[in-house]
Amino acid sequence: MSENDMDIRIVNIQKSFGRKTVLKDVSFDMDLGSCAAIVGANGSGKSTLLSILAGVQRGNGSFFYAGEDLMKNPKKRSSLVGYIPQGAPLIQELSARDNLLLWFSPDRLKYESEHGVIKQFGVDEFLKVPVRKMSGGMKKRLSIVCAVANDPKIILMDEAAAALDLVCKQVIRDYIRSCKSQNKAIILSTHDERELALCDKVYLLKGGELSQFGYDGNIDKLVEHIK
Amino acid sequence: MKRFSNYLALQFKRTAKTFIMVLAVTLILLTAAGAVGITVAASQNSGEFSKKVTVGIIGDDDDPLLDLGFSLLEQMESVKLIIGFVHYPDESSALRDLRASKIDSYALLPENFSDSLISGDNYSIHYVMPKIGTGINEVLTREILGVISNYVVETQAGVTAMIDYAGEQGLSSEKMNVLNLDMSLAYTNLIARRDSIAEITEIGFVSSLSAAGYFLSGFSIFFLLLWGVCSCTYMASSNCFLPKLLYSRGYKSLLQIICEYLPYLAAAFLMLIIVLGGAAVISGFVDFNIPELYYLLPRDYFIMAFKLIPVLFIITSFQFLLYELASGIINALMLQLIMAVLLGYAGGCFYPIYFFPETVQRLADFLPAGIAFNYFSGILTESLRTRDVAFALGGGVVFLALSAAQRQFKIKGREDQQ
Repeated sequence: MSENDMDIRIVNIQKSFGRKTVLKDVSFDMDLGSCAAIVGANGSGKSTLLSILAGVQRGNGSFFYAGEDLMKNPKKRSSLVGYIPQGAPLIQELSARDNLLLWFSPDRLKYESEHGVIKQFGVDEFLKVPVRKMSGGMKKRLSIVCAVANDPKIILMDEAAAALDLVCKQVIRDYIRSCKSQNKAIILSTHDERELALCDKVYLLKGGELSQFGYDGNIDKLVEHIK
Repeated sequence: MKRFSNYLALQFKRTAKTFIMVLAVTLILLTAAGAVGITVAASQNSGEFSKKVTVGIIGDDDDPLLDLGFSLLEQMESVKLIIGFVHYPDESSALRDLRASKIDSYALLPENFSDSLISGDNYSIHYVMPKIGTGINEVLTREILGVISNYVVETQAGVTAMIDYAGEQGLSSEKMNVLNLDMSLAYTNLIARRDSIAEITEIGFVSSLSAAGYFLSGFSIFFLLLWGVCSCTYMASSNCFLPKLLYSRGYKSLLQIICEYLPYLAAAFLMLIIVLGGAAVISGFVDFNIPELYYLLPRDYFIMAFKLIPVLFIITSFQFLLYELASGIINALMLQLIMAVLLGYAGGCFYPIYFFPETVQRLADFLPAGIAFNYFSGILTESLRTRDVAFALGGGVVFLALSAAQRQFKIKGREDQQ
C-alpha cells in the first residue's frame, strides 16, 4: 500500500470547557498531499481543534493516520505532526540560530540552512539576529521552521499568515504548495482568501459543529455562512 | 535526555545573556535600598543598639542597702554594657530629662522600698517612659525595665538576707564590712549570670542573633526577594506558545520547568557569590559592626554562599511560581514586588517578628521569607536546625511542583484565553 492510499481521519473530536461545548463530534478526513482549511468566526474553536490534534490539549475522539490512532500514541504523533501555533514559540533573548538548535542538531541545521527548510523560508539570512530584534515576518518564518523541524507528515497551521506582510504571506503559500507536492497533509485555520484558494477542502466550524463548505472562491458567500 | 540537555543548555545561554543587565539592576536596587535603610535607621534609632539604655532612679537615696544594690548592678560587666543608672533627687528633674530624651525612662522607688522587701511586702516600682511607639528602643526599654525590676528585688533581698545572716553568726562589724561586698558581688553574679542577661533575646531577635545580625538577615532575605523583581524582564512570559510547541513535541511541563528553573537558580547563586565576595573584600577595610561577622575570614563568605543554597532554593522557586502565575511583564513585576514587600514584612525582614501578633509569628514560620529567615539566621549563629533545612528544601520542591501544575494548566487552557 502506497502512502497516497493512507487516509487521515479525524473522528468525533469533542471538547468542552465547563458547561460550554466547543467541539461537537468533529469529524473529517483527507489524503496526504492535500490541504484542508478550517474556517469560522473568532472563538469558534478552530485553534482548540488544532491544538487537540497536536496533542497540546486533551480532547475526546480519534486522529487516525495509516490506520493508527495518534491520540493514543503521543510519541508517534510528536514525530508525525508539526504544529505551528498562532504566536511565535521562540526564546526572545536568543538568536535565530540558538532557537533552531533547540529543534535541529548542529549538522542538520547546517544542511537545512544550505538546502532545506531554513533556506526555503529565508531564515539563513538572519541566523545571528536576536529574536527581540526581528520583525513580525521574520519571527513567523522562524517559528514555522522550528515547528516543522521534525519534517512532519501532517502540518497543523493555526492562522500562520495572520498579520504578516505580502512577502511573508507569499512565502507561506509557497511552503503550502511545496508540502502538497511532497505528499504532506496540511490542516490550517485561516481567514486568508489566497490561502483558501490553495486548499482542497474547506470546512466551516460553527456552533461547535464542523461541516464541509463548497468554497468556489466567493468569499462573500463564505462570510455569510460564517456569520 | 538529549532534549532535556538541549533545552537546558539554551536556557542557560539565555540566562547568561541577560545576567549582567539583571545584576546591574539588582545592585542599583541594593545600593538604593541600603542607603534608604541606613538613613532611616540613623534618623530613627541613632545608635540605639550600641548605646546603653539609661534609667533614672528616684527615691530612697539615703538607703545604704539600695545604694549598694545599684552599685552592684552597675559594676556587673554584663549589665553595665547595656544599662546605665542616673540618680535624681526628685521626679520633676527626671521627667525633664526624659522629655529631653536624655534618659529612656525613670523608676520611682516607693518609700521604704528596702524595708518592704525585708518584710516581704510587695511595693511596686513605678516606671515612667515615653508613650510606646514602634521603635526598637521603646521595646528594648520595656524589656530591660522588667529585667531591672527582677535584679533590684533579687539584689536587695539577697543583700538584706546576707547581712541578717552575718549578724546572727556574730561577725564583727569590721569583718562584716569586708565580707559584705564580696558576698554581695558573688550573690549578684549568681542570680544574674551572663546567660540570664541573654534574656534580652526574648524581645524577639531570633536564635540569639544580635540586633545588627537580625537586620542583616532581614535585609539579605529582602534583597533575595527583590531578585525576582529584577529578573522580570526575561523571566516573565506574555504567552504560552513555546511551552505549547514544546509540549506537542514531548517536553512535559515538569521537564520544561526544571530546564527553566535551574539556570534561574544558578544566576541567583552567582549573584549571591558576587555580593558576598564584595562584602568579603569590603570587610577587609570596613568594620561592619555585626557581631555574627566578627570572626569571618574572606573565604568564609564564599563558604556561606554555598551554605545558603537552600535559602536561594525556596526563594527562587517561589519567585518562579509567581512568574508562572502572572501573565505579562507588568503583571509579573507587580506581583513580584507586592509579594516581596508583603513577605518581607510578614517574615520580619523590616521589623523584628516580635512586633507582630503571635498568629503572624507562627504563620511566618511557614512563609518562604520566614523559612529563609530562620535558615539564614541559623547559619549566622551556627544554630541551624534540621527543621529549617527540611522546610527550605521541602518548600522549594512544593513551589516547583506547583509551577509545573500551573504550566500544565496554561498549556491545556482555552486557546482563545491565551
